[in-house]
Amino acid sequence: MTRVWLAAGWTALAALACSGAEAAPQAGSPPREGWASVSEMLGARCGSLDCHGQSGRPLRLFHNDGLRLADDDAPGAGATTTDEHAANLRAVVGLEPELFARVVAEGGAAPERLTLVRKALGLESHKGGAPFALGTSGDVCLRSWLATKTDEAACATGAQVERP
Amino acid sequence: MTVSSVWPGLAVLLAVALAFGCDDPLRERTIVALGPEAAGVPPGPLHRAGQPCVVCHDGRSSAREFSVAGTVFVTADAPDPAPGVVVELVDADKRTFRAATNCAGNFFVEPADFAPRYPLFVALEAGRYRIEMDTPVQRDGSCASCHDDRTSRSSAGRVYLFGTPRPMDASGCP
Repeated sequence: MTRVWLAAGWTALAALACSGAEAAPQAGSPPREGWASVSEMLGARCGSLDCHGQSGRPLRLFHNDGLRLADDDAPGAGATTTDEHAANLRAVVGLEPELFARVVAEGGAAPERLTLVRKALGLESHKGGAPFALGTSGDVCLRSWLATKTDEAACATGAQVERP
Repeated sequence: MTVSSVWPGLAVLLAVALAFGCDDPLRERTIVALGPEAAGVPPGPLHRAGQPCVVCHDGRSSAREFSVAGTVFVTADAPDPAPGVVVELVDADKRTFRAATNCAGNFFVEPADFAPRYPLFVALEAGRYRIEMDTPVQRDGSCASCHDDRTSRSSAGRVYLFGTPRPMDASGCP
């Protein structure tokens, strides 16, 4: 009988933990409003299958043209899903959670404190170079999101990777 | 497990270590996972169609170094090679390089000829037909790193020319 109660307790705890991780807002993270446009921009710029769209890559990003979250989805088919955007948010916030919370709490001031921003700008060694330079639409998108004032137009422009 | 049962695996690992050096176990495992050469196809321009070329051709072994290399198939659904296809590569500096596929559908570019600065945009041309890759290559010169022979959540499937089968001019091919 004790085993049954223990098993039930663990199951309930696991269910609460998992559902909490999905539903609860993450401490210090900006509101999810606007995140999808940031996620689309990061996915298009950084999430190709040979970069952050690889399963083993730190900062793993999902995108409709890159790595997919669901087994029955494929690169290039359909749109980026809400689950994929949520996974991208966890990946971005989870890089440096405490520092991330501090940057957001301070209105997005000095975002270069974050490795994500330094790598994106090419201020720190990065195999992928500088996917967006200071002042470009991708940079504006990311900074505005950290300041909880997401510039969705900049994000949409930043997500367009034009052929030369 | 007997010595005789372990020996073939050890022999492969030893051969890989001798051929490609012992400095990177991940690389060695990746090479071993590619398996042996196909029967009747010796190492050379026609070998290992559809495999990630730059895993070995990376300048760290006796194999010729490639900056970009891959295989083009006629369609996504079958392993029929597409010979004589022009592969157009345009890099971040707007430099263009064109390579052509051989009888195995393979093409390869040596760094001395073209060492792209990423992102790299790719298009295929066969006569007047042209198809452009939707997304640029960001860092990996092997097409097959992202274009495995099966479409999956982490692979866009084969690099292919046409949506439906069409005859290709294979004159001159064995």
